[in-house]
Amino acid sequence: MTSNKTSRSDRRQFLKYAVTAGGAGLAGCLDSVGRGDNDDTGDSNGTYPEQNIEVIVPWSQGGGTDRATRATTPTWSDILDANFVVQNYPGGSTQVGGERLYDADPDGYTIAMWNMPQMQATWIFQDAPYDMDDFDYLGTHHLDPTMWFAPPESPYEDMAEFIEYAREEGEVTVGTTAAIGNTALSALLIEDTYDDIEFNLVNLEGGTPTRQATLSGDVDASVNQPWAFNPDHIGEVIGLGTHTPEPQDLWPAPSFAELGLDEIPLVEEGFGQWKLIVAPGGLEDEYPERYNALVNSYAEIFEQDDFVSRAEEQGGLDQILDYNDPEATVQEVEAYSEFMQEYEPLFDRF
Amino acid sequence: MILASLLSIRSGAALLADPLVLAAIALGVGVGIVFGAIPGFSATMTIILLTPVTVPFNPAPALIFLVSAYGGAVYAGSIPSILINTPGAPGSVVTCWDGYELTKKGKAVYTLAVSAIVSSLAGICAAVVLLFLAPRIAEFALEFGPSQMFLFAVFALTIIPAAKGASLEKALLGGCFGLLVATVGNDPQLSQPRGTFGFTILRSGVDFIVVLIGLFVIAEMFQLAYRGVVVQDDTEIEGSFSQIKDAFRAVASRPVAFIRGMLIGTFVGSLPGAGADVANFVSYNEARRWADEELADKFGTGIIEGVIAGDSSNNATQGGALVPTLTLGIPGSGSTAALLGAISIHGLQPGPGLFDRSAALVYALILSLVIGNLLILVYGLPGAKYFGKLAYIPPKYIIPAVVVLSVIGGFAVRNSLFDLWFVLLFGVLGVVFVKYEYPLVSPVLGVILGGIAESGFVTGWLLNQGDPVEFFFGSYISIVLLALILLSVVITIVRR
Repeated sequence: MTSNKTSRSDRRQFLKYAVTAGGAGLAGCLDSVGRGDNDDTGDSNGTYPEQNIEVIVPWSQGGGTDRATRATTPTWSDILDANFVVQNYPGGSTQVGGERLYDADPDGYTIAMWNMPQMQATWIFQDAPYDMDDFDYLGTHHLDPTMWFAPPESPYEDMAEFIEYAREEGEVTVGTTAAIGNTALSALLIEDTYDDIEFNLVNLEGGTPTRQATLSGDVDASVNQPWAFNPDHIGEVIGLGTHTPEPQDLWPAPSFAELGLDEIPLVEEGFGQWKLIVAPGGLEDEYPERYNALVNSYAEIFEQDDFVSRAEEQGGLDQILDYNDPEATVQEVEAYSEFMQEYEPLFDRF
Repeated sequence: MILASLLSIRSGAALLADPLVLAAIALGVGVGIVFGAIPGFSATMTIILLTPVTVPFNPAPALIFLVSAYGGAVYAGSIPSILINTPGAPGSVVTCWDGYELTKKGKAVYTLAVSAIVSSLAGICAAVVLLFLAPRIAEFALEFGPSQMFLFAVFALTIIPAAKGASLEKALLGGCFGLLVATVGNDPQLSQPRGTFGFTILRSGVDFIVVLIGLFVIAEMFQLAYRGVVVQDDTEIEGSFSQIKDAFRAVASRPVAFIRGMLIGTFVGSLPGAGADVANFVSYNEARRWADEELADKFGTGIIEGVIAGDSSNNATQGGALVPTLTLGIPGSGSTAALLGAISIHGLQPGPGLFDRSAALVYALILSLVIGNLLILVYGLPGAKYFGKLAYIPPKYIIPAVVVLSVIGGFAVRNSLFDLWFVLLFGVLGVVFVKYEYPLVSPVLGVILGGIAESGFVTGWLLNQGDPVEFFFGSYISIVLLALILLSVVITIVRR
């Protein structure tokens, strides 16, 4: 363990103490800074887990990743008999949280709920100091498929009609939730597939502004995911279609394959936003028993009724839950990395 | 629609039934009064310093505690104004003028009672206005697209000099400095780092709470250290129950004065950037302007009308200031800027849509203002003269305690030691700003508005396909906002 990492751990402890102590016990919390409270980390003889497990969420509180995480940790706590502390490190399109995870010790006490393809974007398109091989992947959580929406009363009902409309108009305005990610890639792939259509692509910077722009008709269409869009709004906007081979259950809309749009890349594979649990690389090698404890307990969560009903309360998250074991998760991460790399030149358009 | 909001009000009221939440209100008002009664402790500082303490709690009790402390602190700022001629906060400056004169005439208990009564009533009235107005404004706020958000951000920056009577150049320069600070971090459109100097933590930018702590707390502590002793003499306060009865009679016989102050406070509070510090001056001036000649001459000599004017306006700002904070995510004052930070720390996203997403909590927050302001009466009537003693705490105890709390607050924002350097940097800058009369709220608003303005401009521009006419004049909201921007600039220039 490097001294750099010790001090980082100290800081976490410092906040925890400082906050718990509040204004009253200032002297006490300063003491704890001096002492350092991580004497017990790295001791492989102890029973795991014997301290809090930090879950990094690289997004703000209240966002989709945060809500999914907070719906999960109570059940995980019960199964693993551990206390999970969710910490939000938003910023840098998940890179701030990503670097936090990369810098953490692979001791089973720091994990993250990350999402892809944003995760890949940080090392492919940004200057993140890590890449795919620097992490251990514990399992997927859910897959929210990429889906196209249109304002109410638009003159098109599905994606095929929208593409036809774009052809006639010459240029149409399409909003995406981010500059680099599944929504933007879906739009770029479609524009690239059909030579005679042109999109005025606007990054609306998040799910809420995208929903608002769609409801108010500021865009001709927008790209988001059904759960992220919030299924409470079914009926208020038009669901043009999902970038998948099969339709999904969360939002009544045809899939691209059903509409005969299979010339668009990635329709066969099904394309959306994954949430997955990631740990600092080396956990499996250095602490195999901790790794297994985490992997097995995580898999068990999806069998628990209390988790499923909590997910249901989160706007029907239960319908898109999609657990994959570590091996299948790695394959999915690889597949997403490959096509993000393959289609990288498309993003120059932004 | 009305039914829906009634249902939301009911679910908000249900949240208040939780004993923990009720305890949060009772404790919040009490702590707020204690902090507010110490000269130099503004409501802004009170919220900043208490926010980290609330982190372990659920959003409902935590935010209600902070809102209650906010109300308590605004009220209590008047206690040292009346007793020792030293305002507890900038929102209570005018209370000194007549309040202290009344104390010299031996009417301290009477004056303190009037202050508690009007503060409490004005707070409640403004909360009721907020309760019925905010949902309408929130609904309207959903009409704000990117270009309107951009224009509103510009309006918020230009209105500060008009509202505060500060120099236009200095206010705009301060605001632009804030905007510049806000450019640090990944740019919102393309996620490429800007001005991060290779520090990962700066990819998420400079957090405005850190700026707020530096400018509003650390800078104030520097000044307190420079000024030295807060107050020296200790006068005995005498009073009786009959003075409190007289106080009720005094307020009841001046309903116009009270309502005028309350309305001014609610309105000024709802303007972005202007809070209690502006409202109490405006209200005092208006009270004098409305008075007949004989009465107008007596302002400042110790008449109760002066106290009513000041204290009915400053507590009413709270309800008003929460309107743009909750509906647009743009704070109405320094205090609500601090509250905005607390709201996002607790996982809520202020701005258009908050009333949809978190209706119960928002209504609980508003309803808690009613209870909190009632408690001001409960604490204030019997206790005000004792809270007054807090003014004698020597700076040698205040400064280290506050600085330690600020460090915890600065650290808690995102668990980063790096941010503490910013707290120090902005603390020193704050001293410079105060010395050269730059309004402190301008740079803070600049930092908060930077992201809103940039995203609004870029996405608005793209959505309108780069057409400036469509961007600036595309909707009636844009045109009204442009007119308001022009008006605030013209007012500032003409006023010279």
